[in-house]
Amino acid sequence: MFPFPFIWLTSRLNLRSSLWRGGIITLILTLFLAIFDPTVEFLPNTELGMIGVIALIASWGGLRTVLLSIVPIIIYFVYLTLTTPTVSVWEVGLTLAILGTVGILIGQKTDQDLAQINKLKTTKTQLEQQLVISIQTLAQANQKVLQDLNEHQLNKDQLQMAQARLQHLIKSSPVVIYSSPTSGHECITFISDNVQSVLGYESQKFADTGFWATHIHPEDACRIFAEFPRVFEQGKYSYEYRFLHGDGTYHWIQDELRLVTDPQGKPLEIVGYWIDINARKQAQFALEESETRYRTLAQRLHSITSNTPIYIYELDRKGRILFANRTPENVNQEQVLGSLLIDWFPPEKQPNITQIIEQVFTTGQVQSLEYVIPNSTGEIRAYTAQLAPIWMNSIFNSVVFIATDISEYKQAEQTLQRHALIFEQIYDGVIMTDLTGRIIDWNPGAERMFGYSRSEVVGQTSALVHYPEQTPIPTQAMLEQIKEQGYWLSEMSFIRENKTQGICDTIVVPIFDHQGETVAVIGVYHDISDRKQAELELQQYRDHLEHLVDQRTSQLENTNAKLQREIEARAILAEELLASEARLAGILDNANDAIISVNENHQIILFNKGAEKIFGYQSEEVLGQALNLLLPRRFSATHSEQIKTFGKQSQTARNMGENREISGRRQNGQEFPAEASISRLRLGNTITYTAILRDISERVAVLKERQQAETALRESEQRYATLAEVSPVGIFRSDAAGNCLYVNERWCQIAGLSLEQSLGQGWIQTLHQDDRDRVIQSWKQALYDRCSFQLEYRFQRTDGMITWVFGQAVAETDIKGEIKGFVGSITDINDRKQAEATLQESERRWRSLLENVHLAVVGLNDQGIIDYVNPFFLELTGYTQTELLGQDWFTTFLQASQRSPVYQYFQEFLKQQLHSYYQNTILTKSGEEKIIAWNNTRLQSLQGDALGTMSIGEDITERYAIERIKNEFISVVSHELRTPLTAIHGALNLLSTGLVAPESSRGQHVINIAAESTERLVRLVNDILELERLECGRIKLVKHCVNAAQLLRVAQDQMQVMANRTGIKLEILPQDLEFEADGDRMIQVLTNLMSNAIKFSDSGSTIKLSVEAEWRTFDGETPMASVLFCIRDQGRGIPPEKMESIFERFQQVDASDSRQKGGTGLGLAICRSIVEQHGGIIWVESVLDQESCFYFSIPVKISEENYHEQ
Amino acid sequence: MNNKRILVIDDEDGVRDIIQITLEAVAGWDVMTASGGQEGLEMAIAQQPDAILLDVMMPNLDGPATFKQLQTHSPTQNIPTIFLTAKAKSSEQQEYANLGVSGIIIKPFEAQNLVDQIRGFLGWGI
Repeated sequence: MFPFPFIWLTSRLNLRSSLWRGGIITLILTLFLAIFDPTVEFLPNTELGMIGVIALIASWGGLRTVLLSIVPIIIYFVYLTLTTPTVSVWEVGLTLAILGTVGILIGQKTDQDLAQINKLKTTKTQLEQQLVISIQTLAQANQKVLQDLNEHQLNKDQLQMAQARLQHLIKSSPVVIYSSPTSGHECITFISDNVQSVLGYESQKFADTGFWATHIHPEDACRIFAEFPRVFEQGKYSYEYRFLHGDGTYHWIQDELRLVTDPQGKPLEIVGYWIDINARKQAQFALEESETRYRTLAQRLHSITSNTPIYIYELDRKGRILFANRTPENVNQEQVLGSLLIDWFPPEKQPNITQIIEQVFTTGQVQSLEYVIPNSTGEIRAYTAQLAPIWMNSIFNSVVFIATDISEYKQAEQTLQRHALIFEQIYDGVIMTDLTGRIIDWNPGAERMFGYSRSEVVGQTSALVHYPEQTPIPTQAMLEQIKEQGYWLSEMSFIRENKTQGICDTIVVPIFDHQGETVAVIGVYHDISDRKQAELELQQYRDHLEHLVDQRTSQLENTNAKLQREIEARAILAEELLASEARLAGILDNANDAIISVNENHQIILFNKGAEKIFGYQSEEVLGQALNLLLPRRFSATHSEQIKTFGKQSQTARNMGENREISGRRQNGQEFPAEASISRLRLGNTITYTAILRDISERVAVLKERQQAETALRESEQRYATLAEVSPVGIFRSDAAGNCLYVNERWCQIAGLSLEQSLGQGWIQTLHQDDRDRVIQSWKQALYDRCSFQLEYRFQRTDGMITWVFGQAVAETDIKGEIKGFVGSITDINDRKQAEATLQESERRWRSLLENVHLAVVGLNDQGIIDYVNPFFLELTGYTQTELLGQDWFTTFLQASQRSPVYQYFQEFLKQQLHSYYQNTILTKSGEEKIIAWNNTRLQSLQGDALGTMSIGEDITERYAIERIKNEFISVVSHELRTPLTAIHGALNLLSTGLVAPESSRGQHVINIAAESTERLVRLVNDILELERLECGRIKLVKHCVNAAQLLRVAQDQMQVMANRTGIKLEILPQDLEFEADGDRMIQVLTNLMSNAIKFSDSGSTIKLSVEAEWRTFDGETPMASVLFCIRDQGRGIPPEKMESIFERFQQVDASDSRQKGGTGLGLAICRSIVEQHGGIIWVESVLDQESCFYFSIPVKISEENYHEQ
Repeated sequence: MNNKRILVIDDEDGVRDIIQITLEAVAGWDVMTASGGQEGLEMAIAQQPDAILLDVMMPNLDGPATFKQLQTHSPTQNIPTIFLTAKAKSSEQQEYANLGVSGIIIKPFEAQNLVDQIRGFLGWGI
């Protein structure tokens, strides 16, 4: 146990491995001791302690440490043993502890030292190695350095040589070499010594910062500083600028810069050289100046000469063109310069030019020449040329050749020559005068004409020839006209030198100067004196002739006048004659009657147009013919006799055929009756008989017609009268005013008036008072509208009888179209009217039936379109009449699936009326379905075609609904019955077939099942029957006074067991309320409701029953005292939509739920039945998932009405 | 384990017991019962019977609904199912048949008859 404190101690010093080591050693030692010391008891602590310490020390530093530290331990122990025989454990312990610690520490230190020494040793070895390597490396490097050094030395030698060369070069050249840092020449690092001679400064000066910069000419300084950086871009650069020379002047220098870079491209320094270019510069400037001057001059010259048609060439001695100011067309400078001038000339001219050029060079004088040369278009142009030497520095080496185009001039010259010729040659006189009239020029013609010679008149005024005015030519008038027209043209008289006169044609034209002003005039005078004379003589002759002519003319006029008068007189006579002839002809032509004249020989001499028309002959045909031609043959003999007779008579005219008819014969042989008169005319010896004849055949015919018409009219009047008498229709005639003129017998019968009574306005009496106005109005309307009158109205006869009549009248109009009266009829329509009334009445009755019957009546046409619906149907379906009429039945009322079969039935039905009974479902406007049983009738026209159908339908929806409910009920009930039966049947079957032994437990179980199911079945059947009986009222309620509290208690007792079973609490709040009821039934209701409550409540919940008195109105009558029961549960509640329906049969909130709990689904129905039989009401209020409250209220006193008895 | 195992699902205790006893007594099959559709479904998934007799009229999950559920679960998809119903209307029967059940048995039935019908519908031999 002892070493362990030490071990713990050491553990504090964080030396775990050593700890383990120490521990182990301790153990070993202990064991060792134990082996050799078999006694169980421990050695004196000293030994053990020692062992522990040793172990500890060993654990630390190993054996070394132990040995080291063991000496003092032993010494101390010896001392202890000698001095103190008994040693307390603690002393020993403490001592050992101290010693141990000390030992440990020493050991530790030693160890550490040793460790360090080791470390150092390793380090030392490492270093030694490194050192060796370093020495090797160093040796190598040294080697390399030596090599480099050698090389370097070589280079240096070379460099020195180069430098020496350079120095020499620099010294001797006029180029100043310098170097400067890259910053610029601000500070020149090196400059060659020859700067002294070149720029006049010592080289040291340039070392000064800014020296160079400040010596640049101010004007160039900016440029230089700006451009300097370019050397860095390009590696070299040069520029020129002025630098202040030592002598005080500015010298132009060229500065060449070179950029020196290291191998990487980094700029090191700039080296450059300067050259004094002053002289060059100056020369340059001078040259530039002269060049500019020269250029300006040349330009000016060029501008002058290029626009003039002057060719200026500079030719050398050989005649080569050195300069040309312009080139011929289509020729350019290159072609011209250097070529020989003479080459440009035609061969014949060439030698001439050469000669002249030579002359110029030899004599130094100006020469001129003229030549012609074709230009580019082939036109010959004339030129005059001047050749002159060009002096340059007192010698001339070239000649200037100046050629001017003188073609126009030449032409002008020629024209002028021509004009001069004309001037001389012309026959007429031509005088040129100035504007004042002074003669400038006078041609030979003028000399001839006027007699003056040229020399005599030049300078004189032209007035001397002007006669008689003696005004100078041009006169003011002339000048004006010239200004207007450009010339003056007229005849003029003149006077010659020999004082004879003459006349001339003169034209004066202006002469213009180059500005267009008239400066002179030229007159051309053409002598026409002789002509004039001749003209004069001619005129005289003419005058004489005219005189003679006049004489003759007047004579003729007289004769003419006389003749004219005679003619006029004759003309008048002729006119009169013509007029009378015309009159006669007119008569003859226009007369419709035939006018025939015959001569003594009975030959027709006159046959007018009328005769032509009547007889059909043309006059030419009959003239000269015998008169007999125109007569019927049988008369011809007698006729001629008659004429003869007539001829002898004294009277000159008489009618023919006084006693009998006369007939004529036309060309076509037709005979016609005629009237005629004859007359005799004696003209000298001739006798003319003239007959005037008229064709009266028309007249005769007309007469005959009229006779016929009269007969016909008489006959029809007869007929009419007869008809009127026998007609069954009353006929009347009236005038336009409505006055009756005639009525027939029948009319009188109908109206009950006699004819006399009816006449005039009398007939109006018979009209029914109420209709009078209507009739009169209608009458007037018909008059106004000019249409027929039609109206139904009544007669009221004198005997009181009222007859309905239908009156029609038509207007009679005269020739002019005016209404002169009416003719009409009246028909007795009394019977018809009655029939109408009857029909209306029956229709009304039928209609009322249709309107009011509680059946749907629908009429469809043959297309299935609704044409009639009765009000009941509209009510049933919710539509209005307007919505339905005209709609398609099938699409409006039938489901899509139904339409086809129903429509098919409809079609079949229309064809032949079979099975008129049909049932289908229709949709109301709101989409509700109604089942209708239809009874259909086919409507047909007289021909038997189907017009449509008429259907009467009964709403059997209710019935069906009821049917459906019944079916459902049966279905549910049958299921309900079958379920327990299954169990019973199955159970008994098992037992009876011996499959299950009755005595076995299984058997017992089966029997139980059967028994339970039987009970259930019984309950169900009972409930059903009971409900049925209740519903039908077959159950008698035994009513007596009951106590509400009592009822509650009894009910509670009955349900307690069930409630307990399901862990539900029943609470009642009874009140002593007395009322009349069948107690048992009340309890039945309560238990039923409670049973439901229990079924639908969860375990642990409470069902509360309470009762209270109240006033309630049942059946909407006066409020009655009643007792209100409430059964409240905390179950799952009833949804609002089910709150009514749960009181129906087999209606459960969740159908299968209650059954599981043993319900029949009839409970609430039974309750309701009972309550209602007591005159009360039952209902439920519920909150879903929270609670339900079933209420029923029973009137305290059951009144007579509410008491339901069998 | 040659014996057929049938699951009977019917909410009526009596009927269910009778059927169970009948099938055990007559055919000797192993009969499991469940009193509701949900319970029956769970049992069917867990036990994987050889056939299921399924009452039609049950609360909550009725016969057809239970059958549909059986069809959707893979363990029970292929278990042949027979409907039990008291409804005799042929139209309703047709409806049930259309759902895909193996057969319809009308209540009430006789013991032997029940077994025979089942055997017939499922093709199980004697």
